[in-house]
Amino acid sequence: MKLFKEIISYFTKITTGTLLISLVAIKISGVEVWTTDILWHIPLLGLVTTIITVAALPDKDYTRREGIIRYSLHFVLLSAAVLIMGAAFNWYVPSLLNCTVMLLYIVAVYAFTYITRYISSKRSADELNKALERRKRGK
Amino acid sequence: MSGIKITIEELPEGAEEEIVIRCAAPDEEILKLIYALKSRRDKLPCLDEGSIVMIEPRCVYYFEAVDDRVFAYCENKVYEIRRKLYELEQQFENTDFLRISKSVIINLSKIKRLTPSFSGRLEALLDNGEKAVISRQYVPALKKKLGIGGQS
Repeated sequence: MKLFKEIISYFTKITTGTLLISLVAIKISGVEVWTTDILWHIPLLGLVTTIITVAALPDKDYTRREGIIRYSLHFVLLSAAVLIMGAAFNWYVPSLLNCTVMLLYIVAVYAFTYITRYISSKRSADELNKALERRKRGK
Repeated sequence: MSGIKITIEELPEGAEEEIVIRCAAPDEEILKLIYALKSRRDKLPCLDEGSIVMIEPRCVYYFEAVDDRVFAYCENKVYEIRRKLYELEQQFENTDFLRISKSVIINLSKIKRLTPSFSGRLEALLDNGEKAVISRQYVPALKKKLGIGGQS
């Protein structure tokens, strides 16, 4: 159940981030017409990257060193999945320039996902701080 | 215990303090309260450079297990305790103490502030300036103890 919740949480954040960045990318690309296949491509990419995320960043404690290795590995696997699937979905024509642009989009989705995660953790910490304060005042 | 009447009588200086509980029959919650009061007041025997000293649990910031030895960290002094961490966890179950990782039990009343840390963990800044890491798997227990998302 905990794993399922984690998968849903990652899937929602990654897919939302991918959708928002896709909107920007479509606008920039200047291509006026896209097939409805993209409606399946985005959640499919979201699902694959969610599986990579859950496998690379399991719900356990890491040391700082292990965390850096895991996050680096995660970013590499994620980038590879997006570049391969993006090319297969005809989102871009593989070239050095296009791959670089795609990597920038990946960084943007990565940042979006982790900023929302940090905000959520910060909100949780603030709630706990208030509860701690109430507990101290009650003594 | 809802709607319970609490009466505090002020005593002259030097008089012996006493707690009297009036109830039909002590239920589980009252027993927990008695146990918590008793645990807070019982002093802990510790080792300080070879000699035994008694310290008050409320002075302990956290207990930590290091290589099969358990230490009690007070404001600016560390004592060794000849107890297992799980025994301390059981003894102080209904008090301010809470297990926050495999090797640490923290005194919640000594936490100044919590901040989010790497990979879902929380970092606790203590009143003496020390920091302790709360493992992500112990965060739900902390929330429960503080009455967030469950009963405290």
